[in-house]
Amino acid sequence: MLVLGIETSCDETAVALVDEIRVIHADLVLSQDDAHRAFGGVVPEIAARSHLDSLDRLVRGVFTESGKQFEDLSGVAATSGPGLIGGLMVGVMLAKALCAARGLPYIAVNHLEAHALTARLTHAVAFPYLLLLVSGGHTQLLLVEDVGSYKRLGGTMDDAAGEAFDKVAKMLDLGFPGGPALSRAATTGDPERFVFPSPLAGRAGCDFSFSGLKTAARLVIETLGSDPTAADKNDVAASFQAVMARIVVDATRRAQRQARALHAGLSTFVVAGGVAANSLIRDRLETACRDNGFTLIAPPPRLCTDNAAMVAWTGVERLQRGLVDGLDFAPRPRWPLAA
Amino acid sequence: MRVLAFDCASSQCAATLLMPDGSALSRVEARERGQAERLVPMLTEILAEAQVGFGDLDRIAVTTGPGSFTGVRVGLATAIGLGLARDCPVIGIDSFTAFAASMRVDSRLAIVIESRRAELYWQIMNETQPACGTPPEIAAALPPGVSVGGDAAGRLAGWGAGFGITPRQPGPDTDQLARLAVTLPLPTGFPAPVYVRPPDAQKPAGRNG
Repeated sequence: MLVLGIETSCDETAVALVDEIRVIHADLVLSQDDAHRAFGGVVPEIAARSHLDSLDRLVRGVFTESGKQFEDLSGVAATSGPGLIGGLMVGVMLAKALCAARGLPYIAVNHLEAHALTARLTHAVAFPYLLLLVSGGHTQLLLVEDVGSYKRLGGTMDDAAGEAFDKVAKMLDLGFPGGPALSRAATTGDPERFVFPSPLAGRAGCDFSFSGLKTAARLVIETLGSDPTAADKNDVAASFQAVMARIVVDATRRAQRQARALHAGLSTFVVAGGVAANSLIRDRLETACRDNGFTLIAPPPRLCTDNAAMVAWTGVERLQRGLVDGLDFAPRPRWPLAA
Repeated sequence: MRVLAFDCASSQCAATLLMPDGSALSRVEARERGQAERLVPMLTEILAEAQVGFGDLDRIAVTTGPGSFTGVRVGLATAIGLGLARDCPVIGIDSFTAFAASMRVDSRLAIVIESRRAELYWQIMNETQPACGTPPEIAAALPPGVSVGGDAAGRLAGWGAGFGITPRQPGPDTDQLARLAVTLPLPTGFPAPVYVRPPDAQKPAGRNG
């Protein structure tokens, strides 16, 4: 069973070929970073135009790279939401046209489900498991019970964690991309010099809130004057990172207890998303897993950021269960994974 | 030659299958939204009715805009998908040419296309380049005696008397689009969209590059 996966929901155009024995035959990602950098963020219309300009080349590319042909395909899966509607439209229409022309099943993939199932592609993880998805676009704790069956234990009430890292890095003028630059600055900073609030601390739920923290960071930076020293910046970065890690890991610990209460034998914890690469957060998550008797699984960074291998794999999982969609499927810019 | 032609860059979802004997099978649905749901099922219905497979097509023709940005991409992404899957040439025809091909007029012809904004897309065929303009700007630029077509031609009403507005068509006639595609040379790659208007995006003030 070979599935072609297409990802166009934000600013990465990606195409991949994956089969049911977890072989990634080809996996191409084209980042549009350069096209958006001048605007200080992703411009939806520019993203949509870029997807249309390069998608055909990437589809040809995965066939050339793998030596596979259209005749070898069992289905075509495209990220069909959530995301930017202009980009989703390009991937969905091209995928549906491939399916019509080749008589193949079309699989409409939820982008969040693709992230959630990546650990089954990379580590053959069995259901159920607890997932922390922590990236520039998403911060969620999900109980993954089966394909199509998710319980949301918590999520961000405002910004995504990666977004908060990026915004504070921008305030500190640390360069692009902001998250990794902030962690580098933090390595030599004093994490106890500045005290940041921990929103929602002490609450029973597993939700996150980062926007107040961002405001607190701005106020601290303003006290440092117009030209803060590198040491000052490193201290802000270290203090901010410490509180981010505490918020993320505290909610994770609560979610681990909740997940265990729902599934007594549950012992797998999966972390995915770009922020999972942050070494302080990773260390603290490892400690939390040890304390609570969980095994920590982290797919490689390349498959944690937006990619099409996870989309193709989700296509494989859904196709195996007969979960296919009609050619009248319309992209869904909003598409929650779980209630 | 078997040609499958379609348009959803305008206020319709429309398609025609042109057969080697010159007969044609068409579907036209006037709609400003929902082309993403309807287009692919519409194409499969037409081919099924004619008992023609996607692999039997010799050419695919699609309007490339200008028009709704989303509609332009819905049509093009579909055409490119079909072309890739069946190694079939895709011929892009811009929407001005497509509207002009739908009209039988002997006089000079201007096409005005809906943008759902204050500025419309317009072109005097064989004379000017595609451009954006408000109805009074376009009306002032039109030479006397010109016929005006396109889905936004009616928006020039009241702005001048020297030109004749043709009855409104929601989109180009895909039957004529298919027949035009037969006469055009084969392209080397897939067609590019014709947006005419750049993306709405402002560089933040005070930022470099």
